[in-house]
Amino acid sequence: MILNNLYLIARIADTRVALRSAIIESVVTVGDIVAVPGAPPHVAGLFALRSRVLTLIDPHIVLGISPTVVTPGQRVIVVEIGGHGYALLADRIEDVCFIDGGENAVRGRLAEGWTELADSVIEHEGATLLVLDPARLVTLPMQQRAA
Amino acid sequence: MDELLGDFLGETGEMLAEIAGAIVAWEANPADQDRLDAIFRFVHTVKGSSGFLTLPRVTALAHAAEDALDMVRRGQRSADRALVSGVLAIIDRLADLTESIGAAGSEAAGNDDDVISALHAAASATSVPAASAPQSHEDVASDAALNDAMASWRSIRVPLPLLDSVMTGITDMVLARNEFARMLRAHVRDAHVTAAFDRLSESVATMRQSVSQMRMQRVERLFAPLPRIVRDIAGELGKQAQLITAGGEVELDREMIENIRDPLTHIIRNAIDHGLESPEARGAAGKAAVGTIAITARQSGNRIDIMISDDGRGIDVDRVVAKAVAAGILSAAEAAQLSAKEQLALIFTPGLSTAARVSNLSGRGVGMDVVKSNIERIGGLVDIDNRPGAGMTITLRVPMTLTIISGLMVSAGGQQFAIPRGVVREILLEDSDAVRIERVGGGDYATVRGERLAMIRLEQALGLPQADDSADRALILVRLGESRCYALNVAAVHDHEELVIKPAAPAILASGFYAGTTLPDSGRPVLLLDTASLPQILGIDVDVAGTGMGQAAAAVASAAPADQLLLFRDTGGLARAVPLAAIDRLDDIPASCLFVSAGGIFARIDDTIMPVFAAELPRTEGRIKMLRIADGELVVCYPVEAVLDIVRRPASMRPASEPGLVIGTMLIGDEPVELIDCFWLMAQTDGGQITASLTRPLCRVIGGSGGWARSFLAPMLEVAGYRVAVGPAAPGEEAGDLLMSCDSDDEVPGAAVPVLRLRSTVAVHGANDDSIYRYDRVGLLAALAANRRGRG
Repeated sequence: MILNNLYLIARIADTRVALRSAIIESVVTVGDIVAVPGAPPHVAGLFALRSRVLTLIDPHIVLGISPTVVTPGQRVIVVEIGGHGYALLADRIEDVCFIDGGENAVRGRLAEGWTELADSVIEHEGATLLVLDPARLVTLPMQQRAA
Repeated sequence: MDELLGDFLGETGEMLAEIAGAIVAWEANPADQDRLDAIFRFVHTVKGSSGFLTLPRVTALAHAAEDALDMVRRGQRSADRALVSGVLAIIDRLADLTESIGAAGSEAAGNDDDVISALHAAASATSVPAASAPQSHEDVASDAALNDAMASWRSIRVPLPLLDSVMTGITDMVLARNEFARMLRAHVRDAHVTAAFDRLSESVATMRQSVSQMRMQRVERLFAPLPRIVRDIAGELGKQAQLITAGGEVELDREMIENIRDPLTHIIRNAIDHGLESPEARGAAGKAAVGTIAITARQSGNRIDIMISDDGRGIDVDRVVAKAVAAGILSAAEAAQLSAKEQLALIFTPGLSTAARVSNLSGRGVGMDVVKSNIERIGGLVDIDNRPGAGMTITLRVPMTLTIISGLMVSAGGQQFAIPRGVVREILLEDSDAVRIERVGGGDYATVRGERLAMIRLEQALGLPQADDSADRALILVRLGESRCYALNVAAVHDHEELVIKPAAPAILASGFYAGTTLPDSGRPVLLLDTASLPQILGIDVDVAGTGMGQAAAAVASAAPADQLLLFRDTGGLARAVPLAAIDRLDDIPASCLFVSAGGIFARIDDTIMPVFAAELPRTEGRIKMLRIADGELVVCYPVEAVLDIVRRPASMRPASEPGLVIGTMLIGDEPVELIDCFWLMAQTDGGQITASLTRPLCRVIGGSGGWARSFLAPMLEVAGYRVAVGPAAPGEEAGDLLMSCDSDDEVPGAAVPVLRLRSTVAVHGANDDSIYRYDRVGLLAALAANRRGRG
């Protein structure tokens, strides 16, 4: 596919990551957030994007660190997984760009939390970015719950 | 896949479903020319379109069936069991083939000689000589007529995702409209802009309704394959059964139809397998050898009832109890404590099969518990009416649609949640006299009029902080089935709203608290509570039967609806109430469905005409809401502006002084509310009386002071059965049936109608004075009565 090497570069938990763009729909401003009491902690709430209700996911919780502070007007990454719309919180969303170099397997040890989320890195403008599949942020906590 | 091929498969699939019923009906009555023609048209159409698409096997199969059926149509062959089975085998093969074409994209190689030659063999054994053909060629429908009939099969095929995207588009429009409306209210004072916006707003609302109707399908679709299923099961079990269906025109969301299909099939299997006796046993019991399975669909409010009745042996409750005890589900002592209804409800217990032997049809581990949980999952209820020895009726009550439900908005911990209106039995204020709340051994209980129910505090269940402002706290009695009910304690109950429900993300569903999400008109997402799983997660037993007071509770539950009132605002803006039990349903129909006939107003709803209690046609072009008040035989429609609430009937009422539409006035909250006298309403309607009452004679009061006539005289005249107009008739106005002159000396102009003169003094003005003293009630009423008799 032609978009295979298109990535969205964001900063999550003080780490620059390159998110694979295949399931990313858009980047939008987060709306009024409604809490979901009783839901797993990585579900940060719901908000409406036109007639859709998106489930807000906090990657910080998936990584096992304290929750992301959500500010009004913050931008989030909208993805669709299994017919449901999700929005991923990020500290900052930098850019969308084509990266040609190709992904390389992670050598050495990643910090706790990241090991299960990422398995490769990519070189971009002289920096090494961790490659992340955005779907993992949604599916991993569910797998861990099931286990 | 080729688009043409896709269309062919879709169309064939639909026709197959419709034709299955026709075949069985035709087998039962081979003389039924309509059914025969319908089946013939199907194979003829399949043959024609498959020829185009080079599907040789399909063409050959259809051709063989067409030939055989054509011979029957021409009377050259009789429609016996062998022929029907042959045609059925071909149609089954066609169904298999089209399915595999759908999966593979092309026709697999294969041989269909077995089914085709079976049909031919059936023919050679049974063909009747052409000479004795009972029908001439003229009896066979001409090709032109056949083509006309085929055109009626056609409809536009729209892919479901497109339908869903139209639905999403409309929801977007509604939300944008609401936002726009808020802005307009805040900033714009121009009446023209507001009026234009109102028009836009109304057309958006109309469109939203049309779109939800697009998703509706007739229940016939669910019924179509059943004759075939009944035939096959009965044949396999050596029983004889006939199927009767009614109410096929009732509409249901297509998703709902899919969800009911399996439970319905299962109940029918059970009815034939366990319910119906063998022909011999039926004969011995004095029943007809052929058992009857009757399926009826009926709309009541925004719910659909599907009733499945059989005239078999019913459920042997003692055996069910014995089985349950044997299976260790409960002890014999516990079983003895249960009411008859609770004992019957044991058939819904998992792991209980009452069949003496496990047959290959019913004994597949799919029991009534699965049926029940499947129906409850879609927000429905299952009720059983057992008539031992004479049969039983199972009623599936399901909401009309899964995607749009009527939801009740509640709040807890500063957040709003939605509850499906269908499960709400009653709403009470926590500080109401009828409610007593206690904490017993760590569990919360609410005792409502003697019925003790488990209580769940929503904040506590969801781990939310509970605020202290308990003034508005309310109890929602949630009904989960026959004898399962609990009280949900919430911070406040708000309005109800039609909600478009969307599935929630798996992570949210996994919590078990929620059934979906919705976006109400406010534009802020709201979670729909899963009222059935809430007590399960919290480990709270909500079985009313389990509290050992099932009998008393059942008595209260059955009495409850009679004590409930539906609060509404009538077209005059008055708050009024009517007993909930008297209401058959709420209709929302276009104003154009109302018409005047013989002086009365009537509404055309579906195919029936019903009287409407109104003095004049509503002055609106839009839609009107009407309560359908019914006593089982008579129906009268009562137009309302809005339905406000369902409330418990207050203990006291101030009766009205005269019999009439209003039987009395009650205080609900702090508002005076008039209670409609259904008895009076029906009496007006009975035998067309309503027409007469609406054309009550007009009494025109002239002379004197208009104020006195309006304030003092008119109410008395109205009680006496007159409509009252004050002042002389203007051109074009009704002249009136009686003139009442307040000035005894007045010359009454053009007195073509009877005249009554009133005088203001007690004393008469002379020998010829036939006037009546204006406060002589007895005299006045006597004169009025005489006038009415004269008219009659």
